[in-house]
Amino acid sequence: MTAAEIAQAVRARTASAAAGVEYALDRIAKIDPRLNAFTAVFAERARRCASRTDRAIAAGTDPGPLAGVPFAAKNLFDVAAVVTRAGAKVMRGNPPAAHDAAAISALEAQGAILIGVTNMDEFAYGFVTENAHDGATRNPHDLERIAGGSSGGSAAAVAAELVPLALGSDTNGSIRVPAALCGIFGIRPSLGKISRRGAYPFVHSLDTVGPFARTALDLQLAYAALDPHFTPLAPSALAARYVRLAGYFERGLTAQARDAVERVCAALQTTATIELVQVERAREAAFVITAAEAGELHAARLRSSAAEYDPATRDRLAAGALMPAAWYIRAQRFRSWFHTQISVVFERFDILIAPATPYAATAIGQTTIAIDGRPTEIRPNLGLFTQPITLAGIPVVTVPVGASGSLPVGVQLIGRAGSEAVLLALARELEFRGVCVAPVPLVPA
Amino acid sequence: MARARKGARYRRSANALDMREETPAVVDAFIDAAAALMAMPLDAQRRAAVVTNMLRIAAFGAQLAALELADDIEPAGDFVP
Repeated sequence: MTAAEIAQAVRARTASAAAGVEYALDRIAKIDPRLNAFTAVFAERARRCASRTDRAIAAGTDPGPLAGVPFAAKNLFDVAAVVTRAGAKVMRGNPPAAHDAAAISALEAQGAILIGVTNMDEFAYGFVTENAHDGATRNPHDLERIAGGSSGGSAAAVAAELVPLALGSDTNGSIRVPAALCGIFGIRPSLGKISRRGAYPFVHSLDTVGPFARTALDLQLAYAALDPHFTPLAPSALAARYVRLAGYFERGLTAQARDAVERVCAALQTTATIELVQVERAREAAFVITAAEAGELHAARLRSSAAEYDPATRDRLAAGALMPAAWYIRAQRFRSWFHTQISVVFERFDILIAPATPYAATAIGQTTIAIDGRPTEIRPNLGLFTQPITLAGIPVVTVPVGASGSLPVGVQLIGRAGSEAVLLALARELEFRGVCVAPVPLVPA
Repeated sequence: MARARKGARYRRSANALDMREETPAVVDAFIDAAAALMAMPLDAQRRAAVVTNMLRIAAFGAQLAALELADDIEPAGDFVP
């Protein structure tokens, strides 16, 4: 069942929140050992919450539009009385969180029920969710393949229908990449739009938090709970000017990823293309800002507890901690300039369309992929099309585009700052037309 | 094609630091000095991995340094929609 269907049934008293929680717990117990999406399940907390919800409904109180909907959260979100791990071993000796993260509280305030927390790349520094401490999360469409990252556990949990909603974070693509590879919907909100309180930081300048869902309506319901100022837009009221991003966003694409973008553009009857100025520099600036801020954040722990880190994360963080300040400041000045350039584009167009990743999910442990006959490194290039957009601080909805018999890929719908309602309405429209639909997972129930 | 409103012409600045043209030995020396200054101990294996990562950052830093930005462009602040 979708989140919307669960909430409708619980509010109408044709199903109980308790039954919904038991169903989710049972499904997690049966399926997650093969996926490794969850790092902790909070059965008793979820049961208590469901019981409260059912009692409230019996007393005539409406818990909200997410009544009884089970959800998961990436394990960088604070959960009261639980140690926040952020995918890291070095965090495990920390005291438990005193409060739930703001995003968890916001979903629960609308009736949703937290079931557990999910696997991620250590400190969100990666696109694959092959965690050195917690293991790799497997893609529900092919268990030998990655789920994408860094919010891979949340994406896999939703794609495998363990929960209808999950929270992730997106700094350079950590919602958009796993949403694409797992074939679901995800939104990176405008920078500063949704509270990050209680979400362990990665890069203060670029971090956002947002939800995943299997349907566009569910994504909108979750987003509406997180953004108190959100007003939905009916898909019939859409009057947007669309353009496909060309040049940089066409390089190194597999035929499948190219076809996905073309299918979305064909559905929107747009043939317009545009090349963003200095988009490669935008990706480089995001990379430099990420290295510097993440390195500084971890410098003290790298001095005292370096052995506790995943070596791949540790040495990237160390390099960032030691880099000259001039590169970081130059990257932040470029970011200002790039934001202005993007604003110019949005004078002519409302929604930019681009692939989310150059290719579908690769095998766990695989390091290179052949693109146009040339071996290409996977890890640095999975975020090739998400990272430049990050720099502009603008919202992006990733929509799934799957072809029969193939792994899913995703397409980014990119709007101007504050245009989440337009993007979500477009995602609903594309889903309604059958262009962007989450494929059924192959993982057996 | 979106056009620049100000700054950011594609010209290599005379003062641009192009680490790609430097030898890794320069980066080795920089890492040793910076690690000592920041009190971050690195054994030989870690040092080699940090050098590799610094070379990648340096390549990107050099590309950004080569881009001429108008002096009045300030570092980005928080974006508030």
